[in-house]
Amino acid sequence: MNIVIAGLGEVGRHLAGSLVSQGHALSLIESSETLAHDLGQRVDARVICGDASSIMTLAEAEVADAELFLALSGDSDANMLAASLAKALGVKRTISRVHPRVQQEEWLFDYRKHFGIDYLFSTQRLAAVELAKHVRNPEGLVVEEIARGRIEMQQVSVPAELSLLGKPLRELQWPPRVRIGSIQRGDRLFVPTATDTIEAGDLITLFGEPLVLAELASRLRIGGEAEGQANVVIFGGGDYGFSLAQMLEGGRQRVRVFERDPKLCRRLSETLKHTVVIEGDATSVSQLKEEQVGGADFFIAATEDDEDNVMTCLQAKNLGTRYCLTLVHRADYADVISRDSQQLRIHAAVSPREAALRDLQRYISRERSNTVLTLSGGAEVVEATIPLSGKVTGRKVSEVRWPEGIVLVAQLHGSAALVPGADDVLAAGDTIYALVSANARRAFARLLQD
Amino acid sequence: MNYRLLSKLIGLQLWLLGLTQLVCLAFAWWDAKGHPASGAVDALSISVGIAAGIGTLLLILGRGSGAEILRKEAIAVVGLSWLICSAFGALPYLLCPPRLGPVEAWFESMSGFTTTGATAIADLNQWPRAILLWRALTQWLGGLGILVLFVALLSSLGVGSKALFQHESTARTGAGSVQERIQDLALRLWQIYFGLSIICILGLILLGMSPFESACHAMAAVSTGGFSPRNESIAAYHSLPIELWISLFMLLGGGSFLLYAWLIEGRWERWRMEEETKVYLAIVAIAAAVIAVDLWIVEGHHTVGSAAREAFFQVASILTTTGFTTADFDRWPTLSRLLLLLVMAVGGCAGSTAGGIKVSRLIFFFRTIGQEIVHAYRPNRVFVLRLNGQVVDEPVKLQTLLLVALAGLTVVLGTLCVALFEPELGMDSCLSATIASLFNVGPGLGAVGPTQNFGHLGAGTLAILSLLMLLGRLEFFAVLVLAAPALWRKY
Repeated sequence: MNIVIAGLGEVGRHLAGSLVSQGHALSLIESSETLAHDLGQRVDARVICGDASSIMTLAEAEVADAELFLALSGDSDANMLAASLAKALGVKRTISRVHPRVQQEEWLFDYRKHFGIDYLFSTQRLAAVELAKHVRNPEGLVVEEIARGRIEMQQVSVPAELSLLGKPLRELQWPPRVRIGSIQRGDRLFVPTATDTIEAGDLITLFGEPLVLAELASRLRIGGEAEGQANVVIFGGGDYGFSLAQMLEGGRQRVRVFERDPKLCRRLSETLKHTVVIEGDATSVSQLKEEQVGGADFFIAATEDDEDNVMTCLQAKNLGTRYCLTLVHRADYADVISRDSQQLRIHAAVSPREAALRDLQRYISRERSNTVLTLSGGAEVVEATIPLSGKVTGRKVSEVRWPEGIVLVAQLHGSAALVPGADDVLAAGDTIYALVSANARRAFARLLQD
Repeated sequence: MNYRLLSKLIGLQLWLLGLTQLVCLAFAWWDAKGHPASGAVDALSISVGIAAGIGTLLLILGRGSGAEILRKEAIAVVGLSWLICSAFGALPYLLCPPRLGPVEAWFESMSGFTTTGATAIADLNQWPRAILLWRALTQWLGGLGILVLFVALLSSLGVGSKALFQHESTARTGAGSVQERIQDLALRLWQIYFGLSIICILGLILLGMSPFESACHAMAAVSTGGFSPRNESIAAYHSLPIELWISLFMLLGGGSFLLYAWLIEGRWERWRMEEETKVYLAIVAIAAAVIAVDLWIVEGHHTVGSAAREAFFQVASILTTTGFTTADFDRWPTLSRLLLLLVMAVGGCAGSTAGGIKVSRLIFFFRTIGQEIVHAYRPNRVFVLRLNGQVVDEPVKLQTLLLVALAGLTVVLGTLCVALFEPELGMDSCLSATIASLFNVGPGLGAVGPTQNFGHLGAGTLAILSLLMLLGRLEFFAVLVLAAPALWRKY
């Protein structure tokens, strides 16, 4: 595949490296001369030094013949411009890295359609999604986000004393748009039907919107009562901290944000209505003590500075915070920290670069149907695109005869993601996610043939 | 200071006053046919003549002034024109028998323009109806503001029109308030005001009030003024429908006209975000309920119904700073009287015709107190102040606190002055006269209570109270700047 990458920062370089090793033909556009020279030495690809939002440069990189164009520089506006131009010049698919603000506003305005960009992502937001996942289910068996973080999967083991034990599924009063994907009973994993029951000791896999799901999962875990609010402290109110606070606030988390810059503090407190903003420096122990960070359930270091992040995490752990999470920006540090996280007592280290790489890899290698994640017991969550014409296109979910062993768990229509109900229509071009047991895989593929 | 411009704008206002008096004059002509000849025609003719003459003189003096008005001129015009208009508005009372003294006449006129509704007239029956119409018209003009009317009608005022508008109307100055052209906004507010007045008049006529009294009461209700052509005020009618209809329009007058503009445009989402109006209605409900219970239990002779009826009307009238009465609330239990005194200070919403501190300022005030309490033990916590879902800037917060403090200080000093000039008055009379004047309510307690009037007070007291009314109506700053020497000099 011919791929053009514009903007070779941390994310771009590592993606380039792994794409080359997968055998793709790469052209790289980088505006910094030294960086471009350095790349030419280290990556087996054509390197063009120039401005990716200039038609000349794009033509030189022969984007018209490329199948994929990625704009990955740190400048959101330049990325969108470059990707939009590249699309106009004839690239099949374009991807642009954007500021988290753009993604937050996507529900108001269809940026992707307007600019002709197929996929928008922001590293800050991806990192925040990753961190939020840990916060929502710290001891969780498995939490995975699908449909770009808007649908989550959680596994919950059912305790012995629960009122709904033994009732058939269709009689349970679940919140809307939540689905049980699979039940693992002993060694047997099966995709349940409406008449199946939940038994004590089952490991059930739930799909739904993160907030709804977190609530339900906690109710299931402790037998009907909702858990108290988790107390979250975020250090750093920049793009990472802001995105994270926005995802967490209003849910079952009480969020506090430490930020040093007074102006940023004001902006944060204007936008985040349920978050307590504290103008202060979490690197100072006395301030941590004064804010009683030791009593918090989570401390998340989300500044741009790795050293500060790790050190404040250690500080918070010492004061008694239950879970400490940190962002790690530099690749060199990321390995050390995640390897030694047991000794450091850091619950999780999230690298924005890694998060972005994983996300891009997933998008690039996408085929008509492709496994998103595999569960123990052989079932898979499979992502598929509804074909332009086929057995299911344009039909309601309830009208399709779904083969046994398949549960539809998520649907992406435009930028809206939901757990589809019986009356939702499967439109051409939508992305659907289904939990498919091992022996239903072929049936699923047949269902989605053109 | 651009004196020519000042002269021109004030000249224009005198012309407007002259025109309004001309309406009264026409009414006096028509009215005199059925009644024994009154002095109203003569008095109004002279008054119109003086206003038109001096107005023309000022217009000639102001010839050739640039049309554009700057902030400095704007704020000077606001304070000055209110002083001058109130002086010319006093002419009919001064000239028409049974005449008022000069200070009483000025007091009556100021009480009208500032929509206070305190009167120095002991017996209204002795006055010709044309003068009573003028009395109601001054309230109607002053309710939304003459200068706001100018801003609406004159497109040549330029940047200063914003300052004119802000200093005369009480529209909220917080974030997101005034995004459109100030002229359009002023025009829309006047349209709403006019529309409300017409509906109120028609309703009163349908409920059986005479057209003349309907017009007077409607203009006094929507402008939250409170002048009534009857000595007994609304109590004269003993009619529940009339009381309810008038309460409705007093409450509308005390609500935010900006909100009405949004709702008329169909922007219903504003209602969801609106906090001020909800708090305002809650205050009405709670105060009325407490007073009703107090009247019913403590003052034995009320039935539940009559207690609720009197309490609701009186709270609506006093909170919106109108001042109509259906009951002698001076004879109510102490709790109820104090509660009424308290709601006098609250007033209506920002952007209404009501006086008082305004509900939104009090919301700010209490929120800031709450935040400062938290700051005492958690100094690093960052707060923003919100009202109606909008973030309020720091300077506005400071201004609000200052204004609340200034209002408190003025009440104390004003009470002292009144006590100095009126040694016979009791404490509650002095205090309530000050509060009722400063917050443009009208009737107070004791010697200035609902069945009394201000006529028996000395000239000095009346002058002080008139000044307090003006301070309250223009929310201090536009009056106080007149005393700043630097305003009149070149910088």
